[in-house]
Amino acid sequence: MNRRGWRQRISAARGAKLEGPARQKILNTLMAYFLLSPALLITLVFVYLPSVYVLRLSFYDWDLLSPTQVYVGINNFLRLFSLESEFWPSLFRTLEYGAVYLPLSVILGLCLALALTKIRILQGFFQSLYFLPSVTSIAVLSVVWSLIYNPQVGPLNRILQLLGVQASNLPQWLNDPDLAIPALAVMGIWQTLGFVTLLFIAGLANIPKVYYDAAYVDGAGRWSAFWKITFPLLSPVLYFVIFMLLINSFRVFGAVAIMTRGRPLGSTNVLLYFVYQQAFRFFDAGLASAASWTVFIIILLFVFLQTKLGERRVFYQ
Amino acid sequence: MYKPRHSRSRLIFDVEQILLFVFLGLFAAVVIFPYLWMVLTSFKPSSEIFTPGMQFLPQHWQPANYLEVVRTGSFPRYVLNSVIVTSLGVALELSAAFVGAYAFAKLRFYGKNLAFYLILGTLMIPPQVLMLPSYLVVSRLGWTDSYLGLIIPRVGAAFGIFLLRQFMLTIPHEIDDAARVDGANIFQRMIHIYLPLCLPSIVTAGVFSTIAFWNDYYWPLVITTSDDMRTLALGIGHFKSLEGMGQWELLMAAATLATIPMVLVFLLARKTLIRNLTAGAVKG
Repeated sequence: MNRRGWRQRISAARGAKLEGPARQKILNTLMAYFLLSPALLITLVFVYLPSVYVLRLSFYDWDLLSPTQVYVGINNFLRLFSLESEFWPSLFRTLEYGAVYLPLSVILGLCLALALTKIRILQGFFQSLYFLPSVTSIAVLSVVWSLIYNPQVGPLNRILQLLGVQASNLPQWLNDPDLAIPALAVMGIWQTLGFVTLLFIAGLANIPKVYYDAAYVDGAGRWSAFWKITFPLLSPVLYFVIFMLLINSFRVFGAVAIMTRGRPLGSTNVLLYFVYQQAFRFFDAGLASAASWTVFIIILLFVFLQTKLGERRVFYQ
Repeated sequence: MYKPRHSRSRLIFDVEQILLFVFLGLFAAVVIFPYLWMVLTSFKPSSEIFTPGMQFLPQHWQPANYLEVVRTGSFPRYVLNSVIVTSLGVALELSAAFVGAYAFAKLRFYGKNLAFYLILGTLMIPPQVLMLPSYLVVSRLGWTDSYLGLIIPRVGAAFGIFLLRQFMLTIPHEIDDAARVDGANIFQRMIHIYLPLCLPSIVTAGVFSTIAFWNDYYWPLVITTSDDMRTLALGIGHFKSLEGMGQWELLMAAATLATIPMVLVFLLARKTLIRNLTAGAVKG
């Protein structure tokens, strides 16, 4: 439909005698879907169609190249959840990442937010600076942190050496299977802490000051004011932040793809990297799709829980 | 936030303020260090990177590293691709968001709620989860390894629609009605009334969109196969394979060049950026 057609229709409707509200609404509906067509079309074709397609693929055996897709029932899910499947270790790596990333982000973010609301100088400067990693590409951050963690030439180990750590005792960071995931998580914290802090600051600003005045009049100390007022009234934001961080930890991909590629010894093979490898390295579309859906369901579960808990707002006002 | 019980006398050496400053300053140093190290390394000659010991500043500043990066390899092509993808992507995203937001804010129509949740729902789905099927859809369209494939599937108007709709809801209907009486049709009203009024919100949405397109790593990785179609972010990730040859200084120069535009965008727009980021999450 071209624009002229629409113009004519609308002016026709305006001129027509039947200008009832229903007729107007029908015309509005046509106009609205015309205006929404780019957004809706892209959404349907590139988000919802793939979501359905990946569900279908998870019941088929396919190598991405051959013309035939063989229906295999739930076989892909059986393979995915079998004991020897790489899925379980990669789920464990993801949870391990979250176990470092989430609590440290929440605690540090809250401390920084409290400090920022109290400091009297350079508040805006600090806040903007902390936000800088959020506007830098994960590709850039990954190569820079690769250098920082580099055991031979990286500044981290050079500093440790200055502090007197023996060359043989220097941590190998990303090359050490036990340290690689925590090291990636620390970089993740560093990257998103500015945003977490920002959310906490906004949450803190929403707490009415009169509560504190009342508490102080009643003789409450700062410590008890924090636990009895700030913490409970912050709980909606806290829920939001916690689930956002949980979802973030299931989304780790770029850093792994650039910094470790799942190594060493598969110790950084997190869920999405596992999916990526199954799809684009081993061309196992069925298994990759089954894994995609599993991650998808996990994330939807988090979103659902977040809305449920957020709605209840146990302590809110 | 907290008001101290007794308003404190204005001491110059306020112990609490000093402790807060030290804490915030320490973290600021942690944030800035990787950037600083990136820039300083980009000016070092290769040999200085491997000399043992902690050496902060380059002994011999070597800006020629940047020349080497810009001249050699596919770097100019990466930059060109990033500029094309970002500018077209942002333009498309803003146009789609503007007209879509108008529909949601100013028109009553059938299926409004469903359409709204369909579009906004995409904000909850991490695109990486759909990497295989989106790749397959794009390859069925024959768009792999092309600008179309790099741009169109990533035009997510959801955030822009949300942001612009919120703003348009605050514009009173009377303005619209007055223009209608004067004979302006819907497109004229959108362009002559809503576009100028919404300009600040459009700029904000544009900043978010610019950062997202410029920085995106995962989608170009999935969708491109040839070196000619790599964007800068993807190219930097690819550059890292040079690391084996120990060319850290070139890698850091490339990384610095890729970072500068977004730092500038951020510095110019940081107020509106920070204000609007929290708006969706926390009612302020």
